[in-house]
Amino acid sequence: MSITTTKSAVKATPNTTRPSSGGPGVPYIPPVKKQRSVTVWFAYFWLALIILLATFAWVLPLAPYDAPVGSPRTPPKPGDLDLLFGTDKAGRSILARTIWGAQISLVVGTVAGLSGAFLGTVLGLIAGYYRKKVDWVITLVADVLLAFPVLILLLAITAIFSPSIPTLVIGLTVASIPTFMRLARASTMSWASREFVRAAKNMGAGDFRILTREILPNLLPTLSSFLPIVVAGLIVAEGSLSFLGLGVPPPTPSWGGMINGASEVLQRAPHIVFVPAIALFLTVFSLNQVGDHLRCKFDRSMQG
Amino acid sequence: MKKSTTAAALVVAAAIALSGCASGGASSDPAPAANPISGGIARVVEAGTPTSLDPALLQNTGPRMPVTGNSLYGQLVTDDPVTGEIKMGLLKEFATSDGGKTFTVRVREGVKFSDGTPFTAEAVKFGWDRIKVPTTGSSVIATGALVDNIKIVDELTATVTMAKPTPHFPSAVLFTQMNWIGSPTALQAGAEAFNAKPVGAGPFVLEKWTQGDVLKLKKNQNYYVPDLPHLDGLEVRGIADPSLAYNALASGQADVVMTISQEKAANAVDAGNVATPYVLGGGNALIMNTSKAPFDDVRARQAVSYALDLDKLSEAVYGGFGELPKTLFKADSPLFADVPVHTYDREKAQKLFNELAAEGKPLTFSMALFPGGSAMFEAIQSQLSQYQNVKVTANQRDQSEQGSLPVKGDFQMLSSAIVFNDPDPRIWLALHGEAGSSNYSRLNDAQMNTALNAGRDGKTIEERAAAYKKVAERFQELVPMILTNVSYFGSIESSKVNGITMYGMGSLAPDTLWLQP
Repeated sequence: MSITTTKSAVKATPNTTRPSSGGPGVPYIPPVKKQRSVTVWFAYFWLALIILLATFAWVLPLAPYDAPVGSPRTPPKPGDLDLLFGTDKAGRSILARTIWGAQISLVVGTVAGLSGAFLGTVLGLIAGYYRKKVDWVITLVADVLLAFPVLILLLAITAIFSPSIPTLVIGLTVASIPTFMRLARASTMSWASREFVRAAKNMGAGDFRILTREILPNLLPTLSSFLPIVVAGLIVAEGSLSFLGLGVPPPTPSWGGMINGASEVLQRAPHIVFVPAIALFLTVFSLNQVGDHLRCKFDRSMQG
Repeated sequence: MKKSTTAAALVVAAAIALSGCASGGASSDPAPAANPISGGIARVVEAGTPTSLDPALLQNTGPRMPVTGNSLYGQLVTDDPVTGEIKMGLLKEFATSDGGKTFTVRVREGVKFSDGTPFTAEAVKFGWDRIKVPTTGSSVIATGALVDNIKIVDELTATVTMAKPTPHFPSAVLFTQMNWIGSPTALQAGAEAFNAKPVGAGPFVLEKWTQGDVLKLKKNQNYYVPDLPHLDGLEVRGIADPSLAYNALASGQADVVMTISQEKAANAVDAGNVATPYVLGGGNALIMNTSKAPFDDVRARQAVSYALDLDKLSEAVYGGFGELPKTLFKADSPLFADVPVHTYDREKAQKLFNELAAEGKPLTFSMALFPGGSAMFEAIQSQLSQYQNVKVTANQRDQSEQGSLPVKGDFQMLSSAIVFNDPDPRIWLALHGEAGSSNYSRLNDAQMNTALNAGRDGKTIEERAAAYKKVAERFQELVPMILTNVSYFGSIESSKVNGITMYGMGSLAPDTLWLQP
């Protein structure tokens, strides 16, 4: 209901964009050029590329990520697909490991991000709608979690339950719940005081219906624009944990693990560190750009 | 840059080879080149971080915490790296006259612990007795168990009766933390009190200890050797990762770094520092636990051994700086036997893997890993991925378990080492069925046991050499472990540091250290 209202609000503000064709004394204002940022387009392109490569890694003509394809520390050799980015310390193809590593990083980041978003939203909805004691308890728990330095919390979790992909996902989910919870709670509190919610209540709608049919749809744009940024942060966190030796167990490649493993040969064979580092940088950068772009889009429509 | 790295590597390799010519292997200066200067505080990095300052719980090997132990507790005895001869430290006499059945231990006169209490034979008895006891939790409990009982003769003398004749027992002592004796009164006050105030008779005493961070030591004014130590103090840090440890030296945050990386030693020399290598017999080894599946089957062990191309492994893990031991003893050792310890044969390996799979038990095993050790695992996993019917997974453990894991035998494959100067009793402790927890592979073979006993008891070099040839042959047939690199220990230090002396397994004794300002 409310979404329709906002959309028509956008449509109702065109005056400044149409060239004025008025009479004497009215200045000609050229239409505002829609800015197409190169970086945003590149960001979308890179994300599409990396997601495609990661999804179809099984069918790509790559060497397996644990098989030696040449002698150790070979520099990049364009012309040979396996040696395109060279080999690492154990002689494995860096191209193959980077793409398989993309799978791990993206899956871990996305699954943890989505789980954290889901759980955080549920808790935020409950806290923001019901207020009073429920709100107090949930906010307290979230504040305690937020007060912990994230990396220390993750280190503790992975040290207690030995490192594995499920442990990693659970740890990262727990780390991202409080942020989503706070966002959802604040938005819920703002939307819950609106007239249409009151109207729905008067018409006899139960709490669950109001939360899911009235409030939640309004939270989704904000949350989904925040999601890529959180996923980017989680990918970096996974990289940090792998760098500290507590991430994905070997030989499964992850970008952070690849960087860690080659840090001691940085001087002799820098490509082993730089290839996954550049991939990590571009992915995180793109996610942040996309997140910002989405936020701009939705924020404008919300303000309408 | 590359040229000088190669040149430096050749120099270090030559130094190692030359030092290996003597049956011992350290290339420390026999006499100080210049007059030592007193004063200064040296910053030392070693790989191990102690969780307790109890001497029984520290570990006296180059890669662990030798400086911590030697600083606080001194040494009962040391050895000459060239001749292997035992040299006296806090002890005045440590000898046997009945072929190793009993030893007379005499403590030097007038030595006091840092709290003023006298250093007596009773203290040595107390220290050695508690190492045998499982509740102490010492990693060298099996070495302690070589002793049957100790009788105090007078204040400074004790008679040690061995469980079995062990003619080379002093060598066993100085390779372990049995060489470090703490004050019995202080130890009996409990772990917490002792960690706050550890009492030993070493060249340094505790100033401040921040667990997990830095150990600050200051000069013991009542050290039993006059004019030593030269330094006013030491700062000891534990850094497990070899690259981080090396970086501490390279960035000037440390003066001496204990290292077992030939590559880092070459890098250090390249950067204008000094490398002091200390190479022994045996080597780094992949140890397979023969007491539990799947390595209780000799075919599984042989299969893995045939499957690995150790030259490629060395290239991957040691960056081309490693040296593969081809035989159990070094070529210049009088006990050398030309029995190759490893053969690379892909077909034989695959055949054995298939045989095991056909019996319904395809080979799947885990390799115990500590932080910083994944390069070895990844290189092995990468090579084994080329075969059918074999799979290896990573079993990641915490750094603090490094001393206890092999003792408990809680692994299938582990990267560790078998290191010796004189083979007895170290090879006996590593391979004999009755050795207990020091026999990491838990090997128990009748022929091997007999040959080890013969090597220990042999009266002449010829007898011993024949016995150890049999040991090498059985080692080759049974493959309890796969040797991956020579036993390289040593330190890298800035050119300001002088007076580096090591004994045992690359254990640095800091009393002779001095700094050129």
